[in-house]
Amino acid sequence: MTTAAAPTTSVAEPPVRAEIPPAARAGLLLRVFRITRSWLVLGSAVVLWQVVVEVFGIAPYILPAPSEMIASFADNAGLFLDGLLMTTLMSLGGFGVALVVGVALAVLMARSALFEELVYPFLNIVRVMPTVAVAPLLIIWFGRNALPIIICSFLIAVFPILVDVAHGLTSVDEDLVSVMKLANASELSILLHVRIPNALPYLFSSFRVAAPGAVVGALLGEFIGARRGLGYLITVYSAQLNTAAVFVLALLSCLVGIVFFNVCVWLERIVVPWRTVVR
Amino acid sequence: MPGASQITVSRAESSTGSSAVARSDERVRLQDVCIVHGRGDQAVVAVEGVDMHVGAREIVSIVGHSGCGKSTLLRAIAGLLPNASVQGRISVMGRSPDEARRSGLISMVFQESVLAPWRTVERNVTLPLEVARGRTRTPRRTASEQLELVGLKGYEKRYPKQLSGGQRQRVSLARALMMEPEVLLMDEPFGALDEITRDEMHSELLRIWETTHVSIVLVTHSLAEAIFLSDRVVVMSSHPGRVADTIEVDFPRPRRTDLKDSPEFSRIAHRIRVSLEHNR
Ligand SMILES: Nc1ncnc2c1ncn2[C@@H]1O[C@H](COP(=O)(O)OP(=O)(O)OP(=O)(O)O)[C@@H](O)[C@H]1O
Ligand SMILES: [Mg+2]
Repeated sequence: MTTAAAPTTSVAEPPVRAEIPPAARAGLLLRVFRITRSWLVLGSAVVLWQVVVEVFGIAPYILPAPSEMIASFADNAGLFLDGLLMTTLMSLGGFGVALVVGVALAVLMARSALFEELVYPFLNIVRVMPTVAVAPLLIIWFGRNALPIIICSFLIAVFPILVDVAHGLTSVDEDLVSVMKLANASELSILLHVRIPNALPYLFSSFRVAAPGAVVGALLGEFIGARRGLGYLITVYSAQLNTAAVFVLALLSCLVGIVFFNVCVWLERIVVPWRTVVR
Repeated sequence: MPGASQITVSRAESSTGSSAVARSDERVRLQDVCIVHGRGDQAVVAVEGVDMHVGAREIVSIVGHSGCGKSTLLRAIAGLLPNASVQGRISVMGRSPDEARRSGLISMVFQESVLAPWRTVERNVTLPLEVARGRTRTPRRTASEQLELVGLKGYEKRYPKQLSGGQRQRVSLARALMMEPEVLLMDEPFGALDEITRDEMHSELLRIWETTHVSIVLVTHSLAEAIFLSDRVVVMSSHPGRVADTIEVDFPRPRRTDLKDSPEFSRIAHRIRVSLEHNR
């Protein structure tokens, strides 16, 4: 067998080749461990948590054991999942509006220096205005319904998108613009063929901040005035000192954020494979 | 001494002139050109009193110290500067630079290849055609043929990221030629390349130039490059940029790389170097 194996390779190779199968098996195990090790750590932490709570007899309203959290979720699954759905929808709404408005404003600002000059100070005021302070006002204006929540979500998500896309539209290489002008391209074709493709990586990069931001905004709106959603449920259960439920709801909120973030990263890889902007 | 000796070399017209352009011998002419950047207290005179001409199928190089206004001059010829900042007369194919630019008579290659990273090599080459307003001519060469001409056959579907610096610059050249310009402006086109690639590109450029009838204005920091490629080398002085000297280079074409080692070549290089020394 050793003589048959790869006649073109050096003489030192055959004995090594004979040992490959066990080595490969070890390699596979190692790979499985590499992939799962962060989950193993997480699992160990949960077990440790359970043990610590039980051994020291910590009161459940201070630190609930993981088992109590699971029980709490099982008892209220319908209610919690409804909250999860609501918060997801509100976040998606806020994110969608932020995407449309952010990109539209960025394009207008890139195309017209006058527009930028007029709008920028106003935008900066809105940007530094804390959403927590605005939310109650929005609820006074629009009532306890979806609109103020979507607006809160929008307010947090829109600025990263606006700022990054505006930067992407204007950071085009001047020489490339010259190439376009020498072909007698219109400003519109320069926008469509050069500026917008150039801004795409910036857009997706902004999603990494804007998407989790949209979720935080929605939760905040629900906190202050809503009758459904994870944010609302957190206020209800924390008032009852039902810490286990609050923990579960917080974890579900994280879940929405993580899913949003990862969908955006995945989209980024598909839509702009040529470049990802490093933050 | 601005406006130094300018002997026009009449060269035999190629009989294969297939473009519909009037067969005047002159492609570009600059008369007493003065260019000012900015305005008010910020105004900087970049270039002053420049006279220059480029004949049909000529290669003219511009050399000079950094900041003497070479790029500015090219951008003016290309019609890329605001009208208000250019005084004097510039004509390209008998038209104003702006008209010439709109008619697609001018192409430009820069030090960086400035390709669109989101487009394949082929779609980068066709980009100017896709956006050209009011263009009716169909190109003689397809993008693939254009790429073959610059030595990149088979690279159509690659992305710029997958190419070397020299290959990217070839794509940039193919893109410039796709418009079938009468005048090709090159601003330190090989400045970012290593010496070996650069020498290779010189021969390639000459080979391509033989087949395209294009006139070339080349800005370069390499005297060898200027002499090897050009019919004429324009030496500029600084602050403000003026034409200090014009040196005719009469080596017969086609030229071979070993020309660079000849004593006559060194003599011309020396003369340009002295001229640059005197005109800091
Ligand atoms: N947009 C601008 N605004 C103001 N001044 C400018 C501008 N562009 C160039 N200049 C000035 O004009 C002069 C000529 O610049 P230019 O870029 O043409 O030089 P150059 O000869 O191409 O230099 P290099 O060899 O370094 O490329 C310089 O002094 C420069 O500072
Ligand atoms: Mg320059």
